Amino acid sequence: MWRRGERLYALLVFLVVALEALALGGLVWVFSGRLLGAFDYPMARLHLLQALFLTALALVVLGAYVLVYHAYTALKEARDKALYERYLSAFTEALFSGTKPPPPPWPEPALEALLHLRETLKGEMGEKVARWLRRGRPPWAFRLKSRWASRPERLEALEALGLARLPETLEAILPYLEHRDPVLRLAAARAAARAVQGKGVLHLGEALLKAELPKGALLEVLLLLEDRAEPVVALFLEKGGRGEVWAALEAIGRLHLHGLAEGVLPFLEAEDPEVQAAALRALARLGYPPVGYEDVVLGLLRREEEFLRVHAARLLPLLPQNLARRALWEALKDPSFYVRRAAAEALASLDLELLRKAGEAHPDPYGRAMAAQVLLEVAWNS
Amino acid sequence: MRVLLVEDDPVVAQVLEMVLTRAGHQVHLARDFPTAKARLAEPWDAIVLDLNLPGGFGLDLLRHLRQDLGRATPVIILSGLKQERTILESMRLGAQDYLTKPFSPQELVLRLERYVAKG
Amino acid sequence: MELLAWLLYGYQVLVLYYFAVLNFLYATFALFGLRMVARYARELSELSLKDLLEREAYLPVSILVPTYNEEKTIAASVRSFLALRYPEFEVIVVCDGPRDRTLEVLKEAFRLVRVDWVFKRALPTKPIRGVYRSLTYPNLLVVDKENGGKADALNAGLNFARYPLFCGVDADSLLDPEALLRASRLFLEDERVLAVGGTIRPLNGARVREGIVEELRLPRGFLEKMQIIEYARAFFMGRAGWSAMNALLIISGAFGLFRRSEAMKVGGYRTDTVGEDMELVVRLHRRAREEGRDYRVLYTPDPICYTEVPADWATLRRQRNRWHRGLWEVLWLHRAMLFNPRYGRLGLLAMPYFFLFEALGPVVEVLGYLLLPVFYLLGVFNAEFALLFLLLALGYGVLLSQLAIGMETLLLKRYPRLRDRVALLFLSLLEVLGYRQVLALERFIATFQVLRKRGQWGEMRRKGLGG
Repeated sequence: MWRRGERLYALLVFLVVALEALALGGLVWVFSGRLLGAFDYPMARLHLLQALFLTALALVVLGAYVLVYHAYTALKEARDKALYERYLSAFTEALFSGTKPPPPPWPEPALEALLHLRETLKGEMGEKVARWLRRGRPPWAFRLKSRWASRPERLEALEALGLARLPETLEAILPYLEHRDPVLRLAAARAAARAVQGKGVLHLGEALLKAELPKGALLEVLLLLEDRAEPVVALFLEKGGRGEVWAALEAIGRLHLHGLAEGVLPFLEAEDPEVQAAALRALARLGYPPVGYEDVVLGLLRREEEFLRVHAARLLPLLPQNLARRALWEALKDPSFYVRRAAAEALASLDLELLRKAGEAHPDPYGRAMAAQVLLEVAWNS
Repeated sequence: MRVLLVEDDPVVAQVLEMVLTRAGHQVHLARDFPTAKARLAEPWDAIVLDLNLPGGFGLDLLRHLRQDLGRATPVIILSGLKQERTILESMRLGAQDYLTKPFSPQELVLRLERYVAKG
Repeated sequence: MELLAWLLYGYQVLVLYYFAVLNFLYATFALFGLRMVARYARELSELSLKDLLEREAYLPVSILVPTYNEEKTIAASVRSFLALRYPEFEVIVVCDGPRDRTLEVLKEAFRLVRVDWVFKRALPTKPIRGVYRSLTYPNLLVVDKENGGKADALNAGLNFARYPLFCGVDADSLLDPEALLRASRLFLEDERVLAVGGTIRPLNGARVREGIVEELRLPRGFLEKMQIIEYARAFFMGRAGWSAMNALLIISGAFGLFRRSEAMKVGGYRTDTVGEDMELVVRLHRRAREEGRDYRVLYTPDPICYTEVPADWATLRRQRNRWHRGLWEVLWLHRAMLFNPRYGRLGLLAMPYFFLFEALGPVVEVLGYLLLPVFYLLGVFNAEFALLFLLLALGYGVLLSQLAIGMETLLLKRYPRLRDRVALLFLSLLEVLGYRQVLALERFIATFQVLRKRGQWGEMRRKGLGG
């Protein structure tokens, strides 16, 4: 949402602010001195005039810069937009008619157009765009390896490489997963997840284990990997810390990695309740019955942590029917509103008749009310 | 064949316009929800529908087309959203197909022509 | 007599100190704000937003819309909320006992049907008269209740909210379509985040089509133009700085995103103050600090919300009066935090700043003007000096406004016309010649109303629902 070019402006602002601070400081000093009788009126007046002059100067300079910047950026952007559209048409035309694209070197807006095309197209056309991108000799990988690039430049380069999805650029991206700046680590992880192919996936997995990213970010990376995620998810389950395991479990559910479903089961007995909850969620999303762990799940229904009971209730329909029915009926008595709700919703999908009976005859009044409510919602949504 | 393209991303729009025009069809573009909704009233042979539009969600347009206007025009959804929920909802509302981005333009055109030929 | 003159002079010097410290702080904020924008702008790429949207990496949000008498605009507003770009969210409209046809308009526009909805009465509120669901929008819920004020309406909404995050908005807020995406990702990327506030911009004059802001244009009214500059200053220079210090005390009621569990833990909104939005944030800070937790309350500089600002003096003054009373009330309610090292930067920097400079500022300013004739009568008046000093003070004010306008120029969605830019720069000169003084006077009056407890903040009509 913001433009570039704030560095000059920031410098200007800093100068202005520093000058003003100086002027004000001088004033304070002189006035305090006057209070104690050290300075006379003409001195104070002089400082005041100086401060006034500096302020007026600052105003003029600042105002002028703002106007010039506005005009310049407006012009530049119009020009870049025109270039972008011209090149986009040229490239699209070349793609479809099989002719050659305009020859490199290409200006930045042209590279941008290519990146957007790469993002949009797959298959044969996508590969053609990738080839053109390589031919255009983009500066991104080079900038990442350079020592002198600024932080914004690195971030832009990482994003561009993420869009470009050229597998060979992975080696330029991976070192950033160990960078001390967490923002760069995250940007690198995202870019790598998009760019990586084949064998590189395992390297990425290993690098991610050391990257110390927050668990939400890890999940995002796994989701970006899409159908390449499975080896990394397996790696996380095996060797990962708390955050990695959590992200892996979430990803198994969301990406429907049925091949790893069995590996989820042991985590139902993990020490960390968040991990247990993630395991429950994954199994529920996969529709994978927790064979051999039924009593663990039932045990989780009696835990102190409300969220564990909620997710356990949601998984119950995958248990053997009689076990599930009994457990859900009991869960309608739970002191927590959300657990009762989850139990009623689970019962709705398992055995609607039983839910109806609960709405009329369940001993707990709150359980009855919740059952009736969910019945209404079911009728509503159909 | 008159095709309505509902797409706000300029790159995707340009690619689609080009590939459909080259296939010999007449292409019209709507870049946001209100424009698209207005143009749905016109007769179309096929519609390519994006979901994340400025001013509204594409599935509401589909609902409007199928339920309020009662048309059976073949609709292919082209969207970056990959959630199963969205795909199921689209099919339930009567879309013929759901393609995700990134996509293959030729594949889209072939599928579109096939659905039109069938209906 | 000499002593008197000396004392009066001493007072002038004190005012100078006050002024100097204040401007030093403003300058710091300006630099902080710029730094935040420069860093932040690069950190959040459009690509990562798109990815967030297209995959399932998000936290669902409940949008709470408290409304009173808004029959003319409520349908369009709710429709614009329902059109937000976000994978999963619900809109809960709480009708706070409206006297006009707000509820009827909603019923018609969204085909509402009354339901018996079970919900958890975690927060005490005025009685609920009815709950309605929409046949056309499954994620819309409308709650009709007895009038209890904005805070009470928000609490009622919280009782119905089912998602981990909630977003408090004004009924006339126009949100950027990506508002939820931009704000909610901060919660996803850092588990410590409790609340996020965004930038609010005046909508007046903008060209809007079907809920989308197509182009920003300067409105015709002088007051509206002044407020554009004011809002730019308040957000880009003030909030960015405080957020960087993790001492952000204000999240505007027009748009704020919170973790529902945290807000419930501290007991929801307080209904006995007009500054309920600030009060909740301060209480969140306070509780987290008292528990010794590592937490964050953030501000995102991306403009996220547009709102219509008052175009006439009467409404504007009433609004500013209310805001100032709210500020005093919150400071009073949490006076234990003032200068208290237990609350870290909040107690030692933020609260004192708001007390000494924001709350007392108008008092110092108005007294300054009032004392001029006194000095004259006492024969210690130096016209030239007073004029020079006044010019300097005003000059600084203009400088700050220009800095803020400069920041606004960096935005992608800025006022695009060069002549509007010129106009804004010149208007910042005009701002200090009357506009500012009138509002300072209004806030000065508000201070005394608070002191004499004359303002009835319990009164329903001026709860800010009507404007």
